[in-house]
Amino acid sequence: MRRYLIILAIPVVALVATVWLPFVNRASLWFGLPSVMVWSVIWVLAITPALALLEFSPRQRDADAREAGGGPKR
Amino acid sequence: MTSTLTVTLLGIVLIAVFGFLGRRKPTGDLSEWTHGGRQFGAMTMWFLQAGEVFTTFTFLGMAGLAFSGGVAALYALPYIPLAYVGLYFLAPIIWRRAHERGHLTQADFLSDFYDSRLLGFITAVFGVVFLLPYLQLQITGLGLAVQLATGDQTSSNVSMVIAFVLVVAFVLWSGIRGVATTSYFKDAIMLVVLLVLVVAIPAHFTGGIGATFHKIMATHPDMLHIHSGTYDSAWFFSSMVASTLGVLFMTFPHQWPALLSAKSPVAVRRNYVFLPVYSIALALPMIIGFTALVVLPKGSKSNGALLNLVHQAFPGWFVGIVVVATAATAMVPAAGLLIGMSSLIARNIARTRSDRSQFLVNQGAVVGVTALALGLAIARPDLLVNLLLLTYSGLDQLIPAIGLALLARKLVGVWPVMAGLLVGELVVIWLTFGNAYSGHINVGLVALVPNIVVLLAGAALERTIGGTKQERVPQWAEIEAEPESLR
Repeated sequence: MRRYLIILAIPVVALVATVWLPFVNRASLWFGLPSVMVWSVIWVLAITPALALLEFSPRQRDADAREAGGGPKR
Repeated sequence: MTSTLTVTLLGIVLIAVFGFLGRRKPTGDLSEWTHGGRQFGAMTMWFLQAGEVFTTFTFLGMAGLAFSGGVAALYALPYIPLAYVGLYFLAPIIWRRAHERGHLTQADFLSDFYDSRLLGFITAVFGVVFLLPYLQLQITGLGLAVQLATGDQTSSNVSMVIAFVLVVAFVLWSGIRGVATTSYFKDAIMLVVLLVLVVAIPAHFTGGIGATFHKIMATHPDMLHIHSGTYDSAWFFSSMVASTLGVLFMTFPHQWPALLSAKSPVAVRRNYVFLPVYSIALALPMIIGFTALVVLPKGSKSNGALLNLVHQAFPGWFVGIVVVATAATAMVPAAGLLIGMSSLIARNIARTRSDRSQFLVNQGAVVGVTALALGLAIARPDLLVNLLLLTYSGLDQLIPAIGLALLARKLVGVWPVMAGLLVGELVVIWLTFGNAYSGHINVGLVALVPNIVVLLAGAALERTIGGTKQERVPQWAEIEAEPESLR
């Protein structure tokens, strides 16, 4: 679980830090687009697989099965 | 009638038809009308919640912000996905509590947790007052699109009236199910139109997306990074954080019906897993805004940048389709706003004696609120503009109240929470209208500081005089185990 949370933290930290990263926040183009835009799009896209790792983990599956059996746990 | 206006009006009617088709069965039950019987799976939820992301502000405003502020507009790209990361964990808690306790609105949730109808009333009033200008923004956005496309103010007013009479009609008829079916159409037309525009507009004016940005690099390099000025690092960072927190803590009352309509916590979570992918579509109108930067003369109206380019590059009928997409981004979120506002009025502001009268008040509120917003949009379009400045920052002041209500134990009583909320709102109003603040840090975040300080002081005082009982909120398993007769 902790491993999945650390993976999830990576895109979050990357996005929050965007404006403070000098190699991102400068007048430059990556693949013909502004570096800030490419950086933001990549890390927003990374959120979905990071959350999917958590969502489809065996632990979450077990928790859902328990919940379906006898009421949800917080 | 021009081809643009004909296509626009046909499209507006088509959007409403989708809304009418959403109805399953006649209902006089507010819960069924507001939450669709809590039967929506992850797919329907996805469209409902995606519908909240793309409003006229996104469609026209993002292009405009990129035109005037360059990459600073990108603060809007990550804040919703960042909020989804937190909502993946928090939203199932809200869903379960609301499901157990029969909550229909944000104010129900707060008044139940803090055991205070007064708090529910106050938050409901704030919710309606702050969302009214947001509703008007959708109406004026639609009017602006028609006016820019046809060049005619009368056509604009007629379109606004027709569109919002139809919105009221399908919302009354179908409730949230109508919002869901229109969301399918809205997202489909909007994505297709944006994909066409993002390829065709740069190709038409500059030779392509790459050529557009190389031109900007040569002529406006400052627009490619966040630097000192109006849209500086403090503005970018604080706007992103304030917006993220606002969405994460469900401070917008119209977020609640969409969430509570889910059929299970699994549907809620799955939705937040996949929604971030959709959010990157926000970058598309920004690219069009950048193209406007090298095409339109300096001083052009930023909110009209996208439609201005469309008007120059496409034939009338296609301009009409773009206006239909814009109309969809106004009508569908407006329908969601109406459900959020009317249920607050019926459940938490008006005092009704029966479920039937509550439902009638709700339906009356849909008509009354739309009439007010539409009337103001046509007669006094600037009247609520200042109030709109308060919407985001004002609703952010609910963050401590909602955040504490998500805990399993009541750590703070209602009075410190209410005092903090009121102080936060007063500070937001003072900073916004009192010429007391010239910094670039988001006003909503600044006002959260006194809000939390007052809350903490009140909590300390409450404990000193022995008024706090750390009551535990009953858990699902306990409620399930409770004998039927005690429920």
